[in-house]
Amino acid sequence: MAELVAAVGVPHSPHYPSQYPKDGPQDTPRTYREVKAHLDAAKADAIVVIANDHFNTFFMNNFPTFAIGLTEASFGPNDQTRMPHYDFAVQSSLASHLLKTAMNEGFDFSVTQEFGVDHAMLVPLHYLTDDVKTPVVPIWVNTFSAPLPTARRCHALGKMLRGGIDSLPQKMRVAVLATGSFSLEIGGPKIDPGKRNSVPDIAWSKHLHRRIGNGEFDEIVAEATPERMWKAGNIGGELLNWIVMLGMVGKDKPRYLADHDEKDGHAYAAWRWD
Amino acid sequence: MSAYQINKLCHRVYHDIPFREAVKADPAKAIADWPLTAEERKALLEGDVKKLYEWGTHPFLLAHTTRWGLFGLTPALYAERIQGAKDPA
Repeated sequence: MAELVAAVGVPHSPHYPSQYPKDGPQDTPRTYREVKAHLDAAKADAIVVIANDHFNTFFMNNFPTFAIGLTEASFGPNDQTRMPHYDFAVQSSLASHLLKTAMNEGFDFSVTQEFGVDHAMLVPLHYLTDDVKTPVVPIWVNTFSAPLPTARRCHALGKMLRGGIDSLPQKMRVAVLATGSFSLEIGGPKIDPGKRNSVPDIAWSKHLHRRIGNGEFDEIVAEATPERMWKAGNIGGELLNWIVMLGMVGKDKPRYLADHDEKDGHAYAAWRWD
Repeated sequence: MSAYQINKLCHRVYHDIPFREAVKADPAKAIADWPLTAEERKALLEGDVKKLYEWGTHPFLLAHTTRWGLFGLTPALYAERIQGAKDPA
Protein backbone atom coordinates (compact mmCIF):
# COMPACT_ATOMS: atom_id res chain seq x y z
CA MET A 1 0.00 0.00 0.00
CA ALA A 2 2.81 2.32 -0.80
CA GLU A 3 1.88 5.38 -2.81
CA LEU A 4 3.62 7.96 -4.97
CA VAL A 5 3.01 11.29 -3.23
CA ALA A 6 5.30 13.65 -5.15
CA ALA A 7 7.53 13.94 -8.20
CA VAL A 8 10.12 16.67 -8.62
CA GLY A 9 12.50 17.55 -11.45
CA VAL A 10 15.49 19.87 -11.03
CA PRO A 11 19.02 20.47 -12.43
CA HIS A 12 22.21 19.23 -10.73
CA SER A 13 24.99 21.63 -11.81
CA PRO A 14 28.02 20.76 -9.67
CA HIS A 15 29.11 24.38 -9.14
CA TYR A 16 25.80 25.40 -7.51
CA PRO A 17 26.52 24.40 -3.88
CA SER A 18 29.79 26.34 -3.72
CA GLN A 19 28.21 29.31 -5.47
CA TYR A 20 24.71 29.49 -3.95
CA PRO A 21 23.98 28.83 -0.26
CA LYS A 22 20.76 26.86 0.27
CA ASP A 23 19.16 29.90 1.88
CA GLY A 24 20.69 32.39 -0.57
CA PRO A 25 18.67 35.17 -2.25
CA GLN A 26 19.66 34.23 -5.83
CA ASP A 27 17.19 32.70 -8.32
CA THR A 28 18.83 29.25 -8.17
CA PRO A 29 18.48 28.53 -4.43
CA ARG A 30 15.14 30.36 -4.35
CA THR A 31 13.77 28.08 -7.07
CA TYR A 32 15.13 24.94 -5.38
CA ARG A 33 13.30 26.14 -2.23
CA GLU A 34 10.02 26.42 -4.17
CA VAL A 35 10.40 22.77 -5.17
CA LYS A 36 11.51 21.78 -1.65
CA ALA A 37 8.29 23.23 -0.20
CA HIS A 38 6.31 20.74 -2.31
CA LEU A 39 8.56 17.84 -1.39
CA ASP A 40 8.34 18.77 2.31
CA ALA A 41 4.54 19.02 2.14
CA ALA A 42 4.34 15.53 0.62
CA LYS A 43 6.04 14.06 3.76
CA ALA A 44 7.79 11.31 1.83
CA ASP A 45 9.23 8.30 3.69
CA ALA A 46 11.56 7.53 0.79
CA ILE A 47 12.88 9.29 -2.32
CA VAL A 48 13.58 7.38 -5.53
CA VAL A 49 16.31 9.34 -7.33
CA ILE A 50 16.62 9.02 -11.11
CA ALA A 51 19.96 10.35 -12.33
CA ASN A 52 22.94 9.59 -14.54
CA ASP A 53 26.41 8.76 -13.34
CA HIS A 54 29.29 10.82 -14.79
CA PHE A 55 31.94 8.06 -14.63
CA ASN A 56 32.22 8.36 -10.86
CA THR A 57 30.23 5.40 -9.53
CA PHE A 58 30.80 3.40 -12.73
CA PHE A 59 33.30 3.55 -15.59
CA MET A 60 33.52 2.28 -19.17
CA ASN A 61 34.97 -1.03 -17.98
CA ASN A 62 31.42 -1.83 -16.83
CA PHE A 63 28.88 0.86 -17.56
CA PRO A 64 25.23 -0.01 -16.89
CA THR A 65 22.29 1.18 -18.99
CA PHE A 66 20.00 0.94 -15.94
CA ALA A 67 21.29 0.29 -12.43
CA ILE A 68 19.83 0.26 -8.93
CA GLY A 69 21.59 0.60 -5.56
CA LEU A 70 20.66 -2.15 -3.15
CA THR A 71 22.28 -1.70 0.25
CA GLU A 72 21.60 -0.07 3.62
CA ALA A 73 23.76 3.05 3.40
CA SER A 74 25.67 5.17 0.92
CA PHE A 75 27.60 8.42 0.76
CA GLY A 76 28.77 11.18 -1.51
CA PRO A 77 29.67 13.16 -3.39
CA ASN A 78 32.33 10.79 -4.71
CA ASP A 79 33.54 13.19 -7.43
CA GLN A 80 35.26 16.03 -5.54
CA THR A 81 32.27 18.35 -5.95
CA ARG A 82 32.71 21.30 -3.60
CA MET A 83 29.79 20.69 -1.25
CA PRO A 84 29.11 19.02 2.12
CA HIS A 85 29.75 15.29 2.44
CA TYR A 86 26.62 13.27 3.20
CA ASP A 87 26.19 9.78 4.59
CA PHE A 88 22.64 8.68 3.89
CA ALA A 89 20.35 5.66 4.25
CA VAL A 90 19.10 3.59 1.33
CA GLN A 91 15.48 2.37 1.54
CA SER A 92 16.47 -1.23 0.87
CA SER A 93 13.03 -2.86 1.12
CA LEU A 94 11.69 -0.50 -1.57
CA ALA A 95 14.86 -0.93 -3.65
CA SER A 96 14.59 -4.70 -3.41
CA HIS A 97 10.89 -4.68 -4.36
CA LEU A 98 11.53 -2.37 -7.34
CA LEU A 99 14.34 -4.64 -8.52
CA LYS A 100 12.13 -7.75 -8.34
CA THR A 101 9.30 -5.92 -10.11
CA ALA A 102 11.70 -4.75 -12.81
CA MET A 103 13.06 -8.24 -13.44
CA ASN A 104 9.54 -9.68 -13.62
CA GLU A 105 8.53 -6.98 -16.08
CA GLY A 106 11.55 -7.47 -18.36
CA PHE A 107 13.76 -4.59 -17.22
CA ASP A 108 17.10 -6.22 -16.44
CA PHE A 109 18.73 -3.85 -13.98
CA SER A 110 22.39 -3.95 -13.01
CA VAL A 111 22.72 -4.03 -9.24
CA THR A 112 25.37 -2.43 -7.04
CA GLN A 113 25.60 -3.27 -3.35
CA GLU A 114 28.50 -0.95 -2.49
CA PHE A 115 28.76 2.51 -3.98
CA GLY A 116 29.05 6.26 -3.54
CA VAL A 117 27.04 8.70 -5.64
CA ASP A 118 28.14 11.79 -7.54
CA HIS A 119 26.87 15.36 -7.83
CA ALA A 120 23.93 14.34 -10.02
CA MET A 121 22.18 12.83 -6.99
CA LEU A 122 23.65 14.89 -4.19
CA VAL A 123 23.33 18.43 -5.52
CA PRO A 124 19.52 18.04 -5.76
CA LEU A 125 19.32 16.20 -2.42
CA HIS A 126 21.45 18.95 -0.81
CA TYR A 127 18.96 21.63 -1.89
CA LEU A 128 15.71 19.68 -1.63
CA THR A 129 16.07 17.81 1.68
CA ASP A 130 17.21 18.54 5.21
CA ASP A 131 20.64 16.89 5.21
CA VAL A 132 19.42 13.83 3.27
CA LYS A 133 17.67 12.35 6.32
CA THR A 134 15.00 10.73 4.14
CA PRO A 135 16.12 7.30 2.84
CA VAL A 136 16.87 7.15 -0.86
CA VAL A 137 16.62 4.55 -3.64
CA PRO A 138 19.28 5.40 -6.26
CA ILE A 139 18.50 4.50 -9.86
CA TRP A 140 20.99 5.32 -12.61
CA VAL A 141 20.16 5.74 -16.29
CA ASN A 142 22.89 5.92 -18.91
CA THR A 143 22.12 9.31 -20.43
CA PHE A 144 25.82 10.03 -20.85
CA SER A 145 27.75 7.54 -22.94
CA ALA A 146 26.25 6.60 -26.33
CA PRO A 147 24.39 4.52 -27.28
CA LEU A 148 21.73 5.64 -24.83
CA PRO A 149 18.49 3.80 -24.07
CA THR A 150 15.57 5.15 -26.09
CA ALA A 151 13.09 7.67 -24.73
CA ARG A 152 10.35 5.07 -25.25
CA ARG A 153 12.22 2.55 -23.11
CA CYS A 154 12.88 5.13 -20.38
CA HIS A 155 9.21 6.12 -20.34
CA ALA A 156 8.20 2.45 -20.04
CA LEU A 157 10.74 2.04 -17.24
CA GLY A 158 9.01 4.86 -15.37
CA LYS A 159 5.59 3.25 -15.78
CA MET A 160 7.00 -0.03 -14.50
CA LEU A 161 8.57 1.72 -11.46
CA ARG A 162 5.23 3.36 -10.69
CA GLY A 163 3.64 -0.11 -10.72
CA GLY A 164 6.39 -1.28 -8.39
CA ILE A 165 5.66 1.49 -5.90
CA ASP A 166 1.92 0.84 -6.08
CA SER A 167 2.42 -2.88 -5.40
CA LEU A 168 4.77 -2.57 -2.39
CA PRO A 169 2.81 -4.26 0.42
CA GLN A 170 4.06 -1.99 3.20
CA LYS A 171 2.68 1.46 3.88
CA MET A 172 5.11 4.01 2.53
CA ARG A 173 4.91 7.52 1.09
CA VAL A 174 7.29 7.64 -1.86
CA ALA A 175 8.58 10.62 -3.83
CA VAL A 176 10.57 10.55 -7.06
CA LEU A 177 13.31 13.04 -7.92
CA ALA A 178 14.65 13.23 -11.48
CA THR A 179 17.46 15.50 -12.48
CA GLY A 180 19.25 16.78 -15.56
CA SER A 181 19.78 19.42 -18.20
CA PHE A 182 17.87 19.64 -21.48
CA SER A 183 20.61 21.48 -23.38
CA LEU A 184 24.25 21.36 -22.34
CA GLU A 185 27.59 20.71 -24.05
CA ILE A 186 30.70 19.95 -22.02
CA GLY A 187 34.10 19.63 -23.68
CA GLY A 188 32.72 19.03 -27.20
CA PRO A 189 32.90 21.11 -30.39
CA LYS A 190 29.78 23.11 -29.48
CA ILE A 191 31.36 24.77 -26.39
CA ASP A 192 31.70 28.56 -26.19
CA PRO A 193 35.11 30.20 -26.82
CA GLY A 194 37.23 30.28 -23.66
CA LYS A 195 34.77 28.08 -21.71
CA ARG A 196 34.39 24.37 -20.85
CA ASN A 197 30.70 24.30 -21.77
CA SER A 198 27.76 25.94 -23.52
CA VAL A 199 23.97 25.77 -23.77
CA PRO A 200 23.66 25.08 -27.53
CA ASP A 201 19.87 24.85 -27.89
CA ILE A 202 17.82 27.07 -25.60
CA ALA A 203 14.86 26.79 -28.02
CA TRP A 204 14.69 23.03 -27.36
CA SER A 205 14.71 23.49 -23.58
CA LYS A 206 12.00 26.13 -23.91
CA HIS A 207 9.95 23.78 -26.05
CA LEU A 208 10.32 20.94 -23.50
CA HIS A 209 9.42 23.33 -20.69
CA ARG A 210 6.17 24.24 -22.47
CA ARG A 211 5.38 20.57 -23.16
CA ILE A 212 5.93 19.68 -19.48
CA GLY A 213 3.63 22.51 -18.41
CA ASN A 214 0.93 21.26 -20.79
CA GLY A 215 1.28 17.63 -19.72
CA GLU A 216 2.36 16.65 -23.25
CA PHE A 217 4.60 13.79 -22.16
CA ASP A 218 3.90 11.35 -25.02
CA GLU A 219 4.90 14.13 -27.41
CA ILE A 220 8.21 14.57 -25.56
CA VAL A 221 8.87 10.82 -25.80
CA ALA A 222 8.18 10.91 -29.55
CA GLU A 223 10.41 13.93 -30.13
CA ALA A 224 13.39 12.91 -27.95
CA THR A 225 15.33 10.94 -30.56
CA PRO A 226 19.07 10.41 -30.03
CA GLU A 227 19.78 12.90 -32.85
CA ARG A 228 17.48 15.56 -31.39
CA MET A 229 18.95 15.27 -27.90
CA TRP A 230 22.53 15.30 -29.25
CA LYS A 231 21.76 18.48 -31.19
CA ALA A 232 21.01 20.06 -27.81
CA GLY A 233 24.50 19.13 -26.60
CA ASN A 234 26.46 16.08 -25.54
CA ILE A 235 24.76 16.21 -22.10
CA GLY A 236 21.29 16.71 -23.66
CA GLY A 237 20.48 13.04 -23.04
CA GLU A 238 19.85 13.90 -19.39
CA LEU A 239 16.29 14.57 -20.54
CA LEU A 240 15.91 10.78 -20.26
CA ASN A 241 16.04 11.01 -16.45
CA TRP A 242 13.01 13.31 -16.64
CA ILE A 243 11.29 10.98 -19.09
CA VAL A 244 11.58 8.08 -16.59
CA MET A 245 9.89 10.32 -14.01
CA LEU A 246 7.19 11.37 -16.49
CA GLY A 247 6.42 7.67 -16.96
CA MET A 248 5.87 7.48 -13.19
CA VAL A 249 3.77 10.67 -13.16
CA GLY A 250 1.24 9.49 -15.78
CA LYS A 251 -0.76 12.31 -17.34
CA ASP A 252 -0.97 15.02 -14.69
CA LYS A 253 0.34 18.51 -15.24
CA PRO A 254 2.86 19.77 -12.68
CA ARG A 255 1.51 21.68 -9.71
CA TYR A 256 4.60 23.89 -9.81
CA LEU A 257 6.73 24.83 -12.83
CA ALA A 258 9.30 27.59 -12.51
CA ASP A 259 9.55 30.08 -15.36
CA HIS A 260 11.85 28.89 -18.12
CA ASP A 261 15.48 29.64 -17.24
CA GLU A 262 16.58 31.59 -20.30
CA LYS A 263 20.28 31.40 -19.42
CA ASP A 264 20.89 27.72 -18.64
CA GLY A 265 17.64 26.24 -19.98
CA HIS A 266 17.02 24.49 -16.67
CA ALA A 267 13.60 23.30 -15.55
CA TYR A 268 12.25 23.02 -12.01
CA ALA A 269 8.93 21.22 -11.59
CA ALA A 270 6.86 19.53 -8.88
CA TRP A 271 3.85 17.20 -8.89
CA ARG A 272 1.89 16.20 -5.80
CA TRP A 273 -0.84 13.71 -5.04
CA ASP A 274 -1.64 14.29 -1.39
CA MET B 1 40.94 3.01 -33.12
CA SER B 2 39.54 2.52 -29.64
CA ALA B 3 39.89 5.47 -27.32
CA TYR B 4 39.40 3.28 -24.26
CA GLN B 5 42.91 3.73 -22.86
CA ILE B 6 42.75 7.50 -23.37
CA ASN B 7 39.38 7.59 -21.62
CA LYS B 8 40.85 5.50 -18.82
CA LEU B 9 43.80 7.85 -18.49
CA CYS B 10 41.56 10.96 -18.36
CA HIS B 11 39.38 9.22 -15.77
CA ARG B 12 42.43 8.35 -13.72
CA VAL B 13 43.83 11.91 -13.66
CA TYR B 14 40.52 13.00 -12.17
CA HIS B 15 40.30 10.40 -9.42
CA ASP B 16 43.96 9.59 -8.66
CA ILE B 17 45.59 12.76 -7.36
CA PRO B 18 49.22 11.44 -7.19
CA PHE B 19 48.89 10.32 -10.83
CA ARG B 20 47.50 13.74 -11.73
CA GLU B 21 50.50 15.41 -10.06
CA ALA B 22 52.87 13.12 -11.96
CA VAL B 23 51.21 14.01 -15.28
CA LYS B 24 51.47 17.68 -14.38
CA ALA B 25 55.17 17.39 -13.49
CA ASP B 26 56.37 15.21 -16.38
CA PRO B 27 53.62 14.08 -18.78
CA ALA B 28 55.80 11.93 -21.05
CA LYS B 29 57.26 10.05 -18.09
CA ALA B 30 53.89 9.66 -16.32
CA ILE B 31 52.22 8.03 -19.32
CA ALA B 32 55.27 6.07 -20.51
CA ASP B 33 53.91 2.73 -19.28
CA TRP B 34 50.37 3.19 -20.63
CA PRO B 35 49.41 0.89 -23.54
CA LEU B 36 48.88 3.66 -26.09
CA THR B 37 49.79 3.69 -29.77
CA ALA B 38 52.55 6.08 -30.83
CA GLU B 39 49.90 8.23 -32.50
CA GLU B 40 47.73 8.34 -29.37
CA ARG B 41 50.72 9.19 -27.17
CA LYS B 42 51.75 12.01 -29.49
CA ALA B 43 48.24 13.48 -29.64
CA LEU B 44 47.94 13.40 -25.86
CA LEU B 45 51.33 14.98 -25.22
CA GLU B 46 50.58 17.69 -27.79
CA GLY B 47 47.14 18.33 -26.27
CA ASP B 48 45.54 17.65 -29.66
CA VAL B 49 41.99 17.46 -28.32
CA LYS B 50 40.40 17.57 -31.78
CA LYS B 51 42.07 14.30 -32.73
CA LEU B 52 41.42 12.74 -29.33
CA TYR B 53 37.73 13.68 -29.57
CA GLU B 54 37.40 12.35 -33.12
CA TRP B 55 38.89 9.03 -32.00
CA GLY B 56 36.12 8.70 -29.44
CA THR B 57 37.46 10.17 -26.21
CA HIS B 58 34.46 11.12 -24.09
CA PRO B 59 34.35 14.96 -24.02
CA PHE B 60 33.45 15.08 -20.32
CA LEU B 61 36.60 13.09 -19.50
CA LEU B 62 38.75 14.94 -22.04
CA ALA B 63 37.74 18.32 -20.60
CA HIS B 64 39.04 17.25 -17.16
CA THR B 65 42.55 17.99 -18.51
CA THR B 66 41.89 21.75 -18.50
CA ARG B 67 41.14 21.80 -14.76
CA TRP B 68 44.86 21.45 -14.04
CA GLY B 69 46.40 22.59 -17.32
CA LEU B 70 47.48 19.05 -18.19
CA PHE B 71 49.23 18.53 -21.54
CA GLY B 72 49.44 22.33 -21.82
CA LEU B 73 45.66 22.65 -22.07
CA THR B 74 44.03 25.79 -20.72
CA PRO B 75 40.24 26.13 -21.11
CA ALA B 76 40.80 28.80 -23.79
CA LEU B 77 43.23 26.65 -25.77
CA TYR B 78 40.99 23.59 -25.43
CA ALA B 79 37.93 25.53 -26.66
CA GLU B 80 39.92 26.84 -29.63
CA ARG B 81 41.28 23.42 -30.63
CA ILE B 82 38.01 21.50 -30.29
CA GLN B 83 36.21 23.80 -32.76
CA GLY B 84 35.22 21.97 -35.92
CA ALA B 85 35.92 18.51 -34.49
CA LYS B 86 33.74 15.84 -36.07
CA ASP B 87 31.65 13.53 -33.90
CA PRO B 88 33.10 10.01 -33.78
CA ALA B 89 31.18 7.47 -35.84
